[in-house]
Amino acid sequence: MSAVERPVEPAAAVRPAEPEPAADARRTPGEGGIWVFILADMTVFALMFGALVLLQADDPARYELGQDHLHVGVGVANTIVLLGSSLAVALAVRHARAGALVPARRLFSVAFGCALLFWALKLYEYTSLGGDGVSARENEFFLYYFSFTGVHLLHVTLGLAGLAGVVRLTRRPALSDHERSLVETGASYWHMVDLLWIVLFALLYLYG
Amino acid sequence: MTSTRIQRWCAWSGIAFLVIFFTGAMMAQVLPPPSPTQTPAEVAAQWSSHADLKRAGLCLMMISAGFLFPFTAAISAQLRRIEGHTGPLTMLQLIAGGVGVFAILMPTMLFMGIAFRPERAPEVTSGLMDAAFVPFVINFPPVFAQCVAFGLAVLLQRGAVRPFPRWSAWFSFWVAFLFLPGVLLLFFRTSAWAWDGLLSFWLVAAIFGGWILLVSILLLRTLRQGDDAAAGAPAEAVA
Repeated sequence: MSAVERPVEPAAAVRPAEPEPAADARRTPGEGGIWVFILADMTVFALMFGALVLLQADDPARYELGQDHLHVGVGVANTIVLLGSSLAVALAVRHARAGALVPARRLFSVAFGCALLFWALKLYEYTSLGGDGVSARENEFFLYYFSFTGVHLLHVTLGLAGLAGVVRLTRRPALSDHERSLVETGASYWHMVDLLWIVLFALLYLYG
Repeated sequence: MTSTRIQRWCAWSGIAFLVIFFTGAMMAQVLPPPSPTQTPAEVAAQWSSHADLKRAGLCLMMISAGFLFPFTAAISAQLRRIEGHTGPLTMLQLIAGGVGVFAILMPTMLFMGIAFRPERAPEVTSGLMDAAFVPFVINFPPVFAQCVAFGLAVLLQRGAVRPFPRWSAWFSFWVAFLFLPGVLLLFFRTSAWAWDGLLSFWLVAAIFGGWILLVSILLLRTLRQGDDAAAGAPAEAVA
């Protein structure tokens, strides 16, 4: 027994000197920190969603009157555009993980195009509403409509930069572990942008 | 007196800032914020009541700003270790943190001007209040640059020099990002975007305080590991 235990002891003595793998694990895969950003950001959007729910409860008729001005068709189109981009990103990540960088790059470019299209549609909607004489000063519904979709558009803009970075990364012949985790980081962020829009769309265009 | 020990004092001054600043702001009744829809008479009445308490609170706010100098220096001391020399991020953080002190001092001193003679014509007090409170809440570029410089440096950490956990970079980016919509307070006097609103004021105040608290704690944690390296002593001492 003790003869069996003895050889274990040196190994145990070595263990304290072993924090290297732990440090390694922290260094390598997956940019865990992006989830701090995502969860924190979703908390802020939850506040905005709460503000909309309260506004609707406060005066349902006024809320509906505001909704009547919005172009549901454009909202639906933007939702489809973002869902499409999310699908492209998800497939692209799968390709990138498998090392197939050419299709991954194509799919990320599609997502980038979708993001541009989202921007264009939003701009069309803003100018069209402006043409109808609607502004953020009209009432609280439009104040929140313009500011919350504006904050979301800021996220889309940051996402454009992120997707552009990811497209550039996938130009390389192969990805290191770190680069692969960067690709996943950009993709996770983009999925959040999509998710937030779906809730925002439902609350602004359909709710009540 | 070692550099580690000085840096520890510097890190504690971040926490000292928070305690003194928020205490002072509550005494001066700028926290919780008064409504931007107050009439001139209401503004004047508010500054006239408990005038000396408010003045004392403003003094505390002014004093607290001084604690941001060493706090900023402690961050840059660590960023310098990461960059390996006094690189652009180290300098950016230092410049932005220094100007951030002004972002606190400028409105505080305008508040002091208001508190000095609150019995003046209410319209004047109300105008001064606008001139003080808008910059007080809206002025994000310094702390924005500070958060971004800190975050980028944390992501640059390589090899054995890792004073901060990587997630703190993403937290900093999020904080920086959230300051941006604050510009809306210039456009609206009611709603969540007003200067006393949930998103323009409370959220920003919470994340601003939260970032300073977090970075202070992370600095103290790094310095507790306490070797000479944490103070940036070796090799670089020559530079």
